[in-house]
Amino acid sequence: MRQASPRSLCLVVLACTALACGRDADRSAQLFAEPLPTDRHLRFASGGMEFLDPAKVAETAGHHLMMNVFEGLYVYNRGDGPPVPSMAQSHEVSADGKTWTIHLRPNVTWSDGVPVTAHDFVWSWRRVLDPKTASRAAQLLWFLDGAQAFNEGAVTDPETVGVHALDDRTLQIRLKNPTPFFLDVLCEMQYVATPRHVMEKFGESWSTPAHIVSNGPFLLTKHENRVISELVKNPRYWDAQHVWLDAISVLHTESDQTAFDWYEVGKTQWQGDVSLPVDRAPGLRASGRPDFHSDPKLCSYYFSVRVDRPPMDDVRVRKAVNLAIDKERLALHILRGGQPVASNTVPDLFRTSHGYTPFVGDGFDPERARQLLADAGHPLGKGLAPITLYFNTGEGHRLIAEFVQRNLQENLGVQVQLANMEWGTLLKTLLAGDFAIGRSSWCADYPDPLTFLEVFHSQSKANYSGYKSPEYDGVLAAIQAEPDMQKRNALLRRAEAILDRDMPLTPLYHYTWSYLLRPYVLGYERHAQDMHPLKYVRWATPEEWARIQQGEVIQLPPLPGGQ
Amino acid sequence: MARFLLRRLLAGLATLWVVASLSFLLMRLAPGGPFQRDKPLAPAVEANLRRTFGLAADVPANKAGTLVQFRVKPGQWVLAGQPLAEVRGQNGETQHQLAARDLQVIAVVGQPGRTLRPGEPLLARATSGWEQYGRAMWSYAHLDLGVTYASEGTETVLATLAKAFPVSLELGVLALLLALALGVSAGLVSGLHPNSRLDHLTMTGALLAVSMSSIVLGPLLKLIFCVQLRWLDVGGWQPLALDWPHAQVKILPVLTLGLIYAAWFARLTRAGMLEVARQDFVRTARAKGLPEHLVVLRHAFRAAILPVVSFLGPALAGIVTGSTVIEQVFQVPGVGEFFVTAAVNRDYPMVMGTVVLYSSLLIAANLLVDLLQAALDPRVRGDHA
Repeated sequence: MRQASPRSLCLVVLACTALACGRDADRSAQLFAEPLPTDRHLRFASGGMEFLDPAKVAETAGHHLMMNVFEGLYVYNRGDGPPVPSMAQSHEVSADGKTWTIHLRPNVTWSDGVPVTAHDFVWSWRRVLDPKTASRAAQLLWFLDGAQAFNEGAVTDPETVGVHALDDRTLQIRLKNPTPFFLDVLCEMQYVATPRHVMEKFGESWSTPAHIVSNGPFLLTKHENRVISELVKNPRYWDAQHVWLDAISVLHTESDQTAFDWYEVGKTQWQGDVSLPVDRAPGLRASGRPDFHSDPKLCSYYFSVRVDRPPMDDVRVRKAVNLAIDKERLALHILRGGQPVASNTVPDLFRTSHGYTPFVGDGFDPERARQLLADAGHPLGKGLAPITLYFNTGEGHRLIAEFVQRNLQENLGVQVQLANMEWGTLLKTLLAGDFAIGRSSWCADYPDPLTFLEVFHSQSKANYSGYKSPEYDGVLAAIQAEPDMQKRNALLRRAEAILDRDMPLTPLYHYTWSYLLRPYVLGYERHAQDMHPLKYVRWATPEEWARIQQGEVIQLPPLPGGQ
Repeated sequence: MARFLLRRLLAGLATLWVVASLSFLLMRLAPGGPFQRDKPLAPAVEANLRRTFGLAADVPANKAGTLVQFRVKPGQWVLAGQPLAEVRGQNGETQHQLAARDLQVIAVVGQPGRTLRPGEPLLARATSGWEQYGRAMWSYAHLDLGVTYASEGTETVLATLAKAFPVSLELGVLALLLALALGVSAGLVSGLHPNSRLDHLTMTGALLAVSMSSIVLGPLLKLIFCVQLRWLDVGGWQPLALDWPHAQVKILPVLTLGLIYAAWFARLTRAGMLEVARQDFVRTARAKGLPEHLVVLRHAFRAAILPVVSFLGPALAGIVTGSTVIEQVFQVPGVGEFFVTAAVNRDYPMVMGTVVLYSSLLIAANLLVDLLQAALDPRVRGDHA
C-alpha cells in the first residue's frame, strides 16, 4: 500500500483546518443573520433534577431552575454587583455585626395571593435545619446562632435558632460570628421562604406543578424529570413590571453533546449548565464565535500534598514540586479554556465585592526548585523513591497528571508514578491520608475567600493533606471574629501567606465556565458564582441588535445593591 | 402444567433472593459510598441523611449530666466497652459512657458543656451491614424498594421506576416489533433462497448491523437526521404520544435499537429455515402436494422460528429495560440510565431496584418463552404435559 507522504498529510490537515475555520466564520455569520425571536420565550439546557424543594437543592441544575421560582430576602445582582433586595426592603446591622434586622417589603405575596411574612422565613429556615428534613445544604444556615446545635440534634427547641419574627414584616437574625458577606449568603437557595400553608396542606407533593405556590418572578407550570420543566411569568411577583420574559423552557439533559446539538440547531438559546463537549470547547474558543463565552468561576484545582509522609513531609520538597510545574504552559496547551493559573487557593474574584487582592505566590522557577530539592538532600531527585500521584478517572485529569509527571521528571529528576482510580476510591484514599500527592478541587460554598482557606483548617474534613497548624487555625478564628472588612482582608492575606509558606497543596489553576449564548440575549452577565437570575434577561432591541451585528458587545450594568 | 408453573415461580423467587443478596453484598464491597461527593459533608449533615436512609442510628446518652468531652471522632471505629464520652453527673462525678457494641461513629452530637438527659442522642453510629441487609430484605418482601438517594429521600424507587419503565417498555416493544418484522422476514427470504444474491445481500446487512454497536449507529443517525438534515428532533419523549411532534423523537431510537435485534433475528430465522427445510416432515408435506406457501407458513416456519422464540426471552428483558447508550444519545428518559448512574453514585436502593426489576423481567420473560415454546412445539409440550 502506498504510504501517505508528509506533504500530502500536511495538505489534508491544512484543508481540514481551513474548512473548520470557514465553517466557524460561516457560523458567526449565521448567528448574526438570525432574526430576533418574535416571542419572549427563553429555552436552555440543564441537567436533570430529582426534586424541587429549595431546602434540599444542592446542585447547579436545581439552582438554575429554582432561583427563578423562589426568591429570598435578597437576590443575586445582574453580574458582579452587590445583592439586590427582593422580599426585603431594607436592613440594619448591629455594631458587633452579629444582629441583622431585616424589614420586609409591604404587599409581597405568594403566587396564590397569600402575603409573604417574616414568619414564613422563620418557619422555612428552621425547616431546612430540622434533622428530619435531612438537607444536604443545611450547613449553609450554620451562620445563624444556635443553628448547628439544632441541626445536629443536640437541641430540639427550634426557638434556639437565631431567627425570629418581630412582627409580620420584621425579621431579626442573630449570627454566630460577624459575617460581612452575609448579604450574599442571604441569596442562597436555602434562605428563601417556602409556602408553609401549601406544604402543610399537600405534604410531600407540595412542590409538584399542580400544587406549588411560590414568590419568585416565574411560576413552575410543568416538570417532567429528565425531560422538560416549564416556567411562566408570575403576575403576582412584586417586580413583575421589570420581568421581561413571558416563558422559560428548561430542556433536561446530562449529555453535553445533546445540549450542544440543541443549541446548534436553534432549539435552545443558551447552552445552560451543561458543559460543552470536551473536544469542542478549544475549537470554539479559537474560532472567535460571538456566542462563545468563558467566565471565571469560584473554583480551584490543586493537588493535596500529604505533609506527614516522606518525602513530602519536607517543606522544601513540597515547594520544589510547586516551583517545577509550568502552570502557564499547562493552561495554554493542556487546559485550553482560558483558565487563570493559581499560585494559591483563593481565586482572584473578590476585588469588587470585598476589595480583596489575593496573595500571589511563586511562579514557575525550575532553577530554584532544583536548589530547594538539593537543599533537602536530593540533588536532581537522587535518593528519592518514585512519588505516586493519585487522580480520578477523567480525560482532563489524566492529561494534567501526565503533564505534571513530565515536568517533575524533566525539571527535578523526580520520578512520578500515576495512579488512576474511580472517584469513590480516590476519595477513600484521600480521606485515609494514604497518599503522597492526590488530585483535589474546591468550589466556594459561599462567596468569601474564607471558604477556600477553611479547607486547610486542622479540623476540616476536606483537609486531605493532614496539615495542622495552630497558627493557621488561629488566624482563621480571627477572620471569623473580625467585623471590619479591611482588617479582615489583612487577616485573609496572612492566612494565604501561611499556606504559601507551608505548602500543604500544589495549586494549579482556577476554573472557568465555557458556554454558548445567542448574541441577542442580554442581561446574562458574568457572575463569579455563576448565578444568573433570568428576570434580568431580555432580547436586544432592534437598534441594539444592529449594533451587536456590527461587532459591538453590549453589557447591562449591575443594579444598585442593597447596601 | 400447574406444578411446572409453580416450580418455576418458586425457583424464580429463589433466584431473585440470591441476585438481590449478591447485589447487596457487591455494592457494600464497592469502595466509596453515597455521601462521598466532591465535597465532604459535615458529619452532622451526613448523619441526618444517613438516618433518613437507615444507614445510621443514634446512640443515646445513658445518664443525665453535662458533657465534658467526646472520646471519639467522626469516622472512628470503636470496640464494645471502649469509652465514647466523659459525662459529669449531677453529683459532680465524671463518668465514661461506654460503647455497648462495636460501632463506627458518624457524628458526635453537640459540644462539650451540653446538658444531657438520658435517651437523648449522644452520637450517630453507622448501622451494620446485617442491620441494613435485614431491613432491605424485609422491605423487599413487602414490595417496598425504599427511597432513592438521588432524590434525597423524596421519591421512592418504585415511583422513579414507574415513571421511567413505561418509556423503556414503549421503546422496547416498538423496537422489538420492528426487529421481528424486519428480521424474521429477511431471515425467511434468505432461508428460502440460500446462497442467492438476495441472501448474500440480506446477510451482509445483518452482519453489518450485528457488528455495529449502538454507540456508533445512534450518534451517526442523529448526526445525519437531527443535526445535518434537521428532519427529526431529539428529546421530549412522551409515552404513548403518537402525534408527529412526539412521534418523530421516537423514530431514531426505535430504529437504532430495532436494527441491531433485527439482524440477530434474521440470522436465527435463516439458520432455522435452512435446518427445517431438510427435515422429513417438510419433505412429507411437499410430497403430499401442499402448495409451497402452505408448506413454508404452516409447517416449516413454525419449526424454524423456535430459535427466535428462545432468543426472545433474554431479548425481551434486555430490550424493555432500556439501553443506556440509546437513552443517552436520544435523550430517552427510560430506566437504562439508572443502571449506570445509580451504581456510580452508590444509590444503593436504586441499584437494587434496577437489578430486581431486570431480574424479574428476565425470569418472567424466560417463563413466558417456555410456555410459548410448549405451545409451538409438540415435543416440548409432551415433556411437561
